[in-house]
Amino acid sequence: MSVSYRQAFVGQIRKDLRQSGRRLAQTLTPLFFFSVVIALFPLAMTPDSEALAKIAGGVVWVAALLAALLSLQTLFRGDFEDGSLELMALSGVPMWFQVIAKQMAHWLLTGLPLVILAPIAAYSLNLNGDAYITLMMALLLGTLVLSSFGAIGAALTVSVGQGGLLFPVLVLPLIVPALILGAKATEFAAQGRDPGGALSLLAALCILSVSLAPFATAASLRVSLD
Amino acid sequence: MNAFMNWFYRMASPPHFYRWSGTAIPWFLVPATVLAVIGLYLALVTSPTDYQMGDTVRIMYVHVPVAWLSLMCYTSMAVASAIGLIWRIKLAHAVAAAIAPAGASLTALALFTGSLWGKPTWGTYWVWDARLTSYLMLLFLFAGFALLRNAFSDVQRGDRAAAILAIVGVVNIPIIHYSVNWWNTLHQPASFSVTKGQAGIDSSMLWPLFTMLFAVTLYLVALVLMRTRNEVLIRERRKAWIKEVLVK
Amino acid sequence: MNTAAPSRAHFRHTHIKLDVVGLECWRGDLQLFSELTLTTSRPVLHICGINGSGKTTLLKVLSFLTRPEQGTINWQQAGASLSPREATPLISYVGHRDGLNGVLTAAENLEWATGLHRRHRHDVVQCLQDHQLAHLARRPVAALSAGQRRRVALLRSLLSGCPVWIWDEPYANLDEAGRQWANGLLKEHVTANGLALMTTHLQPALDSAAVQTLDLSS
Repeated sequence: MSVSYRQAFVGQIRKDLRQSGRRLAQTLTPLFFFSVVIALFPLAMTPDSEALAKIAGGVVWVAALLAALLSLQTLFRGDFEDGSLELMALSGVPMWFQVIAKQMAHWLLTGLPLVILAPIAAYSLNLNGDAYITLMMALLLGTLVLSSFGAIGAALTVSVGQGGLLFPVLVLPLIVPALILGAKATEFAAQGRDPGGALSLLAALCILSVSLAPFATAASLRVSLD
Repeated sequence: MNAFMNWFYRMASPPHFYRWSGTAIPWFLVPATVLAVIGLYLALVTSPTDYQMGDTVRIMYVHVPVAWLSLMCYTSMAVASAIGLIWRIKLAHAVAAAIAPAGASLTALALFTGSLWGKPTWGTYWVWDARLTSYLMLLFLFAGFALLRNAFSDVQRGDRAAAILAIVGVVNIPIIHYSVNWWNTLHQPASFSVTKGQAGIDSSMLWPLFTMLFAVTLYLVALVLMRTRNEVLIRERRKAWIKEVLVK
Repeated sequence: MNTAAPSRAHFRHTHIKLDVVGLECWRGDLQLFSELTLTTSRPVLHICGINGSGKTTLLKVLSFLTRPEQGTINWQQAGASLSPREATPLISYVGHRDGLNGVLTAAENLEWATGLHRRHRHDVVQCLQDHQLAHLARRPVAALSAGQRRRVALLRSLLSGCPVWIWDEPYANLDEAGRQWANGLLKEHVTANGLALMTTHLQPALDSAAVQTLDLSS
């Protein structure tokens, strides 16, 4: 059977990018959400820049995590509801392969912009200047981990009525390591310590989850289609 | 191998399981009760008080077995789930479903006894200590498993979805554990480890600890068997063999 | 019926056959059917039955989207049995849901779907034209009527080049002209030596020698 993997992969990414491009407001919502959450912290705690500098790394991480999860929740919802998922399952291109394509498109539209926005948010919270590169690198790896686990959660809950509420309950405990490592790396860099250890661990976690999670996601989608 | 698999499939057929588990339960329940009585006597009466912690050290005899077994529960739940997914054995899913609430209760109990222990030791019921935090995450994983399973109206789909989550979770548990440990190494180091033998703990405390551990394990096996029987009854309620069993 | 594109006119699929033995399916507590045995002998298998008799479940089981409680499903091509992994790419499935993304245009949707199969490269726009749907090509699917969407979805089967079409209630939302149009597609498929499995309440208006009926109510 002459099924072209490359064609299916590129086709999926093109489809998702096109669709998101035509619904720009919805695509940008996670980024606005990120900015709003960042703004809430000084309001709830203190506008004092010294105090904010101490928690800046953690705050940016929590906000990025929530924004990424908010958008990942509906990663497969549209395809499930309009029946595209059935077509994907029957296409002869392995589901995990198509899952990677979908994740990649999603990451380009949400993960990457968050990485780019993060330094601006960190600046507003007075993060130490030395930590910016580390923050971006950690978020680059971290958003990939979030996207892997988020995809599993999204696939498991896509056919469930109350999926929206269930999703964070399933996914949050799984992404604790990424949060810890990423936030600590940023904090270390801000304190002038070496963030290398935490970053390497995060990179290992990233490789592990990016390479294994698509299989779990594909299996979950199968269950949801059943 | 083939003979073993045949035996395995036969034991795992719901009617067969229902019959042998009925006779097996007392064999676990009775020793569990005996051991618990002995263990509690040893733990509460004969074992010495700690020179630092005083009588509060006795919480350990509940806390440690419960904490060990809650991890054990998650692992066996994941193994059962994997068996159910790979060999499509329905009984394995029923076992996983039976373990989940038991494991969640044990984890909650471990957290509760841990925080009771924490009050005299650290002066507060809750600290964001590595082990407490790990167990909190474990509790969330158990909760996620149970919630996801119940979210599906169809039992079999719920089983398979929850099974995938359990397997993802069991891969994650060591990672969560190590990252939380790394994040906070404020807690006292583990005073008992299998590799070091009885390094930091006296044998007068070790015996009651082991007795309690066995008592809780046996009780847990009996509990899981009983809960699995219930699951089997619910799941197979339309099948003919249920009538035969219940009429008898 | 309009003639097909020249590239496709003389195209013929390798003969494909379905063998089902002892199929049993449940939905929750309810047994839908059991001991279902079936061999396709004609190009179109018409599955009928009252609501809730398990028509959709049967189609999903036959396309390996759902697992049966018991039984074997054996797709055969040129005498050789196909594994589920080999068989699924040969199936073009149109379910209750059209499989069309509302934001994208009809042509874009079809291009994506054919990219998943690509057994024969048909030109999507040409094909839409050949089947009187050219005016829909550039419109977002959300702006189409339910019947128009159905037509686009059904055309996907032709574009996929799959030898097996599995259609769940293809005539839903179609008016009389639409039903004629869908029958035209089916005839084209039958001419190309393809196999079609469909559920519908209506009798498909095809040559009765081409249609085999399976009643699930009995």
